[in-house]
Amino acid sequence: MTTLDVTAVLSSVVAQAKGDTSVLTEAAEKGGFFGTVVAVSNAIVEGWLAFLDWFGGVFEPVAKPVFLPVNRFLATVYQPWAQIFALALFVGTMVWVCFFIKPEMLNSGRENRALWTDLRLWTIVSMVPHLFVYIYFM
Amino acid sequence: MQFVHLHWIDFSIIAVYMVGCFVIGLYTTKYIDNAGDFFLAGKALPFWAIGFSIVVSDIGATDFVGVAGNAYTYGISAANFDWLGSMPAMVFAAFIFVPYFWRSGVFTIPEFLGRRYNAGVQLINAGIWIMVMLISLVMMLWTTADDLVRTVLGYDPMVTVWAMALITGFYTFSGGLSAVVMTDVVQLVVMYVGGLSLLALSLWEVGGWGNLREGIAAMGDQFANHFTILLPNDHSAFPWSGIVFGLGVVMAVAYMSGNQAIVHRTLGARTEWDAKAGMLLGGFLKSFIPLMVALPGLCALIYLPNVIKADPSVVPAEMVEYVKTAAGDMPMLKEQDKVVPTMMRLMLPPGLQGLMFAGLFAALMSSISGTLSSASTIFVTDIFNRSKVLLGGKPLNERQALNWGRGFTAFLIIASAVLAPQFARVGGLYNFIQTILSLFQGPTLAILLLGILWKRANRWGALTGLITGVFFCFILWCVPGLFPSDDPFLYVAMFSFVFAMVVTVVVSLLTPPEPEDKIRGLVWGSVLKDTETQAALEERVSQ
Repeated sequence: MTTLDVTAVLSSVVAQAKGDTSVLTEAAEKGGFFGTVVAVSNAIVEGWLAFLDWFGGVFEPVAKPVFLPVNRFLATVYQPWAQIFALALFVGTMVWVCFFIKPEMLNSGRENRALWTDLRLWTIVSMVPHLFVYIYFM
Repeated sequence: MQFVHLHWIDFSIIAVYMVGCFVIGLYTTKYIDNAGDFFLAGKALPFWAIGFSIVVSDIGATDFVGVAGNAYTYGISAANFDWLGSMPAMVFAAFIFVPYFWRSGVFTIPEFLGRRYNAGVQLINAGIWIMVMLISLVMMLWTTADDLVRTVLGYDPMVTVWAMALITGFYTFSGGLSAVVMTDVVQLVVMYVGGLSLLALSLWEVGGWGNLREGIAAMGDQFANHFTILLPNDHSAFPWSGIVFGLGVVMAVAYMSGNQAIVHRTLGARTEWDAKAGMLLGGFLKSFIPLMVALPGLCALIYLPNVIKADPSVVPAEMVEYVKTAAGDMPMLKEQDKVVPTMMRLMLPPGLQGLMFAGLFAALMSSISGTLSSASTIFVTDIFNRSKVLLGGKPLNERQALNWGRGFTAFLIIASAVLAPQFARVGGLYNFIQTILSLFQGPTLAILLLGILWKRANRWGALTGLITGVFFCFILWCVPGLFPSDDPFLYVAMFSFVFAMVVTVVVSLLTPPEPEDKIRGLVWGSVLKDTETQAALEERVSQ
């Protein structure tokens, strides 16, 4: 890389940092090492974007018939179910931790038996405030 | 363009914070003798340090900017990412995944996948994470430098990028995970003080919570959902089905259980209880984050129009657009990611500006150092060392692994700083990062979950599930208009998880199961029942 190229790269970085993207186009038009790098980069980006368009087009006829009915179904679901599902996630998690995990596994590795070291208590204290938040913002 | 001129008090606060982090990072260097010390902090971390570290590593300056911006545009539903998208997932992580990771003595999640399945799964997963971490690092650096420091202070973003990269890179390079966690503890305190100051002042300026709600409600129908936590299914950004199922059930669990940058600290816990308690403490502390990052975004809806109406010159005209509301034409910011920086510039007095900047730098530096440490651990453990062994070479010894870890840390932070300006034109920062994560988190969670819960899952199932799952994500991402959301990452994660799960199950059933000896101690139910395996795993951990 020549001194000129290094200067061009640095000025490009500074220009981009200041929000001036026209430097890329100018550099590509001027040629030289840096211009070639920019031109190749631009070609790669443009090629990639074209590939994404093509790829999306290929799978669109297959994907849309599968997912659009799902979307239509979800759109009809009664809105309060959202709150019910969210609250169920919090409550269900607490119930699972408190009643379904074996206590010896739940607290395995604890060094003392003090109440505050019981991770069931930690779970409840951490999760209950969320229930109030989700009810408040219904 | 008006910039804030920091008072000497602000500079002093920022300088004390920076020097403090530097000294703590340097101090931990004396505890680093081998790769275990560097990558896993010598397995000596207490629960409180793990909890603090998880929160600040997860919450970066990008969250302050991105979530506040989303709250400004879409309302309180932006907080779902730190409420529904954190606590249940962190409980699942604490009780399903972390015990197995910790007991097996692995350094990384891909290493666990390698032991449970094979080297192919390990290498693919590790390669994906390294790429994602590089992109995350670049974006974190650029957001803080451009959206925050340049907007508020007018400093050249490249100077900020390199300053942040060098300070953070230095202490991560020197002290590894110990330095990361110890500085995180300080950074959490600084971040909370800064964030809560912004919240308190924002609420003060808009006249309190009641006035905020009334003020936004008075703006009319387009702001009617700003205090609704779960939005209708036809919402363009956060429809509830995507939030509840895509985020709450898939993306959050995948992020909290399969993201090395989060789980890394628990692997360095001194006991299994500390690992689990640290994860739960992190979830509890994270619950407060939306107060600091989302509520100021809502306050901006009332505060900024009032200030701009009183004196239009306080914000450059090119940053403002007038929006018709029920309360009249309101001047609003065009770019949502400029909300927090503008609030800081217009609202905070000297002293608090320094504190808030220190808080934002804390958020940024902790996320960078955590990501750096995790990326170097993955590179050395899962890519370099694993490839070396697969190609017939000898595995790295402790000293070599330590040197490679430090070398990769230095390389990654320099590469991130060099690449930072290339991300200048990426809009909607938070959503961009979530989109990148959604491309593989569903499939990764599927094979991780099946690997722990179902002993019949095997290497062929996992490999096929992971590869086809990522390909499936790519299809969902490329086909336009497939989902109701403009940024369909929540649906991509949800459906790719289901797809990868089905593929993994079907292929596993069609191919031979893994030998019992190979999976003993790595699958649900096989640990506590088998004292011999437990002893072997503990011995492996203590080595």
